[in-house]
Amino acid sequence: MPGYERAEVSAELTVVPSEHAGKPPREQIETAKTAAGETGLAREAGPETLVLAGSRREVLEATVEVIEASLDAGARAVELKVEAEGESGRFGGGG
Amino acid sequence: MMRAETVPATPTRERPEAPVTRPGRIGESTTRADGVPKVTGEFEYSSDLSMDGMLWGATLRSPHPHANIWSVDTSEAEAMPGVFAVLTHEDVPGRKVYGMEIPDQPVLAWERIRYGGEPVAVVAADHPETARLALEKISVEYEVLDPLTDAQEAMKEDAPKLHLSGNVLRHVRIDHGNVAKASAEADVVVTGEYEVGMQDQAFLGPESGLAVPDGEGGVDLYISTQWLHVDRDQVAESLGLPPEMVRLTLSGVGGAFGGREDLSMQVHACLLALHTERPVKMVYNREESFYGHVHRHPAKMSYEHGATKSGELVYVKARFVLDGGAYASSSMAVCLNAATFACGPYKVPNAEVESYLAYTNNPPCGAMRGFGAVQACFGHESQMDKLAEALGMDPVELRVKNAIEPGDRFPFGQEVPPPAPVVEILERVKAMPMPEEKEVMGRDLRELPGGVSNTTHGEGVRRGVGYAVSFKNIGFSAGFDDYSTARVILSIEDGEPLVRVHTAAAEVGQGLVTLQAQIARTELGVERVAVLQADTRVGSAGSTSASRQSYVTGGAVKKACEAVRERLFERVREELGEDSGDLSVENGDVVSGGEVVLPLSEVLDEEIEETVEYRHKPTYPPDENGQGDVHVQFAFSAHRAVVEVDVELGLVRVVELATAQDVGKAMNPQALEGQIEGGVAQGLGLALLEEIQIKDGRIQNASFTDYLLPTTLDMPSVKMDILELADPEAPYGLKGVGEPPTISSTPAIVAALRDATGRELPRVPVKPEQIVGIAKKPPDAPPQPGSAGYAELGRLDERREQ
Amino acid sequence: MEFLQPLDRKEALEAKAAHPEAVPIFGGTDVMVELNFARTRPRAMLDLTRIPEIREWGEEDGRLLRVGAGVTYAQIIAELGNKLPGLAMASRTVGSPQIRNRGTVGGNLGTASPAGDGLPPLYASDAEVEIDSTEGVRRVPVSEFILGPKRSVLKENELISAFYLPEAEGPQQYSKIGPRNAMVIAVCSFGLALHPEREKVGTCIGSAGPTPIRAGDAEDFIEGVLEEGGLWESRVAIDEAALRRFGEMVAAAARPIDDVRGTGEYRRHSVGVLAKRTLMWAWDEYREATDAA
Repeated sequence: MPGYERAEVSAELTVVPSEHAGKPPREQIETAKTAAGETGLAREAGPETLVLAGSRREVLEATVEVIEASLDAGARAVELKVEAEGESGRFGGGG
Repeated sequence: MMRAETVPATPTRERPEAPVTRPGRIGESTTRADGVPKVTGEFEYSSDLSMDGMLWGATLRSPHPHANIWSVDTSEAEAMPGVFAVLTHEDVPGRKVYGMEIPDQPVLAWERIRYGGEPVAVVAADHPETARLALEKISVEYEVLDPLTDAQEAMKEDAPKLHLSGNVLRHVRIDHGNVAKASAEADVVVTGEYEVGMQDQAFLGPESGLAVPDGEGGVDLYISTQWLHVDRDQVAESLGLPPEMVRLTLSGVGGAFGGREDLSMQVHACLLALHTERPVKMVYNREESFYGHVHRHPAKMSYEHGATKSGELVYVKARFVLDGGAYASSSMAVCLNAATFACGPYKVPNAEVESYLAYTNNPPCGAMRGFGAVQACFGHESQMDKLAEALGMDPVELRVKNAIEPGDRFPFGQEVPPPAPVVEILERVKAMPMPEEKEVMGRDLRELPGGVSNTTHGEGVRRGVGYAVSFKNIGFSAGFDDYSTARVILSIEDGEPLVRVHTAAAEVGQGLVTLQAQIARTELGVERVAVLQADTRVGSAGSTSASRQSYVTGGAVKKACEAVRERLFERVREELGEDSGDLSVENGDVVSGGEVVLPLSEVLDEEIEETVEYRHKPTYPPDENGQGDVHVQFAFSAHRAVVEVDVELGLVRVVELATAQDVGKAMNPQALEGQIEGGVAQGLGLALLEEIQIKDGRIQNASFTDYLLPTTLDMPSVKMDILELADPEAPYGLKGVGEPPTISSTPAIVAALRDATGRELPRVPVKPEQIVGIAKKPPDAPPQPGSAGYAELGRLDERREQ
Repeated sequence: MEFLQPLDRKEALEAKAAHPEAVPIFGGTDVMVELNFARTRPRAMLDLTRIPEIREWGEEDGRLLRVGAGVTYAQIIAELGNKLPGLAMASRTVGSPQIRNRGTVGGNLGTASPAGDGLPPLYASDAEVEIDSTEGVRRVPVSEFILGPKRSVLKENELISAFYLPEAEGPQQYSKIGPRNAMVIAVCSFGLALHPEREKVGTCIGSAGPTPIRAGDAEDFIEGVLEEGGLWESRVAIDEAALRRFGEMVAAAARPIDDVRGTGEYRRHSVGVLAKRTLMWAWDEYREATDAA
């Protein structure tokens, strides 16, 4: 039974670690994931990727927190895709 | 990864011609067209698919329920002759996770293993045995972690987090009336702790399918599933392809029961096919199937019921902890469902329900026939019996006294829509004649517990009778846009009118293909109907689950037929003038006022085609107090079980199951009886036999040797009383019928066991140990080769080649 | 994989001597499961189904029967129900009709699982297993043939050719516990045979220990009771206390474990109940036999 409580907005963040930061790349990603976990909205979506899902306000606020944590940990970049789930057209749209 | 030398672009499989049938009208028993081929072994299941140049896929699974992956080395496997591809998460081009509600499950694990049997890598080879051998050549470096296997433990603050945001996946609270105040007013209070084990859908056709690359970057997937479009969308996301480049066609489905709602090998087979540019078939074996799909949620339930001296319910308190296993699947919805059904179909003025769903390192749980209502029903019905005993009341009388009626409100705030014949079905099931009770000594062994295993000749055998009643939501709930699409074409073929019906609705054995044909036959008055193979060339039909397809896809086919008929009559009016009276179609002719006015062949030079969507009325998610118009339709059923128990050995014979069920309209009586018998058997299985036993996160009985399903000698005849009380909102007044038989059959059997033995029996399945009063102890260790199932053959095992 | 198909006994023994690693197969009801799940990948298989003599049974000196290792459960039920009633009762509890048409007691011996339904009746009547090889034939009492779970005295170059069992001289019983009423592997079982001519009682517990187990103390006890009361002659009912004690002593002889099919405690409890009941049934039959006479 998919999508009962479809989140309003989701944000997919991919952390690009730096080879030259103080922390090793793995740790930079871990820091970002831990920060994401604390927002209560996160799930993993790949080795460097996490998704935040929830209401628009909470997702946008959480996104800033995770980006900040990633940059503080030395990440070179954070790739970001924000999607309004209502528009995503998944699960059965069209034939 | 490895590339095969390219074979010529593989043609997509020929589309088989849809068989032309002559179904009965709705309400007439119509035998399913695939019945004979299935019995004679000619039916093509998805595991039977085959194509020239086809490769075989196989899956490497983690032996550990909880682990970190440090490295995966595929080089040795890739070097094997006959191996065409070895893929890991790195080869998933699109979204690396999937899931119907929350995409949290890796297509292939990358660094964390969360359940035993989780896929890590997939292989394609030119022979299944080569593929299997290649799996053994993949070396994975695991760091084994302690598994978190208890849902209550997992919910604790200091438990290790299995997912980034913790282990509580959902918490639903229903707050209705004022329980604190009401608890002072109850004369009698009963409490109970109940437990439901992990049941398996145990469909006979294992997960299987064939992926065929189209040579242009897209892929066709022939698959057994419950919902083509949700599969397509998830497969396309993970392949990084637009949905139109992924086309799905339903193949022969060997049962589903909820276990095919999630993906299994779909993405894997498509990945391998696109990598190798060859068709790839994947078929799980029986053992792998236990790891390949989700199971019914194990539940721990605490209840408190308060009632007046005269037996009126005053309040109900319930707390559920459901074990979701490693990934979300449809757990969110199950958690809500369990909460809304916690109090049973009764007038409960005050209720407090808490339903929690936690992640653990157990196998993922999700949809299974009954969907949260099964667990709740075992709880509330056990409580009603306990309350009846405390009050000194007849258990049926207590239920009747508290039965909910149209116009009342459920504890979750929704008004009870008519019809809601709880009293009637209870009274009817009670009034059915009881089975004859022969003198127990000297009977044929098959009429005794233990059967031909010759364990009793009547010694220790006692009879018991139990009742239970249940309700279940039909259709998707809580605001989901639940619709189906149907395309209907009316034409003249071979000189005779023919209706073709095309939907994406999955026939999983329940009889929907026949039902669609019956509806077309009825609505269009044409004898010949062909139901086309379900595929994604037409819009979504939604899932074959929640007992919803007769209602929603049935409704869509009806609506599409009506649209076709309207266009037909427009043509007739153009031909004969506007005053051609009330038109209808009978036996291939257009009829007005009882007279044939025109044969169909004269107005169908050009075929008529209509595609429509059908929706049931909207539902709404619950508010923060768990209140709202959450569900669409409610189906009710009651069961009476008569059992005989050998109280010294704990063995059981179910003598008879009787049921009364409101179906709104018996669309195909023969198929309906089959649904009820099958559902009751599944309920009997949960009551007595069926449980996936898990120890430290590992499945102990992944075989039909040790996961025991009822046989024909365990399943009694079923007496049925079918009520047809029309639901004014539903097409033909029908109600979904698939799930209700499964739900209250289980507690009815357990009530009968309690009646026979006097024991409490708070857990299903009830084991012989419980009946004779030996405490349940979990098995000591995973069985050594030789102590369980197919592994009975340790001696051969020792001879295994290294 | 090599697939060897000998056409007679001599060819089979030579093949086994030449390919000691070859896994013998007859009904395949155990072996094929292992192969299908890739739990074993034998380098060679030895198909015994084409050897005519392995499918036959016949009478040896007097009342001793020689039953070929390839005689199926279905054959035992149909052809040996009167001569070997205990084994026929056990055969009826095996699997489904399809399995009974393929499976053999020889396979039970080969697999040597303590849960083999065909084994307790062999123990209860002191059966002997005939083992054949190019080096010659030997006969081993069944209780010495099976050494432990899935272990037997069979050597790599040997094949099980038959077993010897005396025709029943008195009532026999077999009872088996399974949580469902058909097609189930024994949680535990019990076989019993009365030997009035020798004034002996044979017993065997199945699936509640590393091998089938004879309840020797219980046998001694009940033989004592029968002898002391002169019951073999008088055919008077065994009193309730003695039946109960017999059940307790059988339960005490079990060496069960907890596993996925049931707890050790339940197994011990149940074999006690089965022992008491089967003795009662067999003794009733013994008594009735006189009434008729």
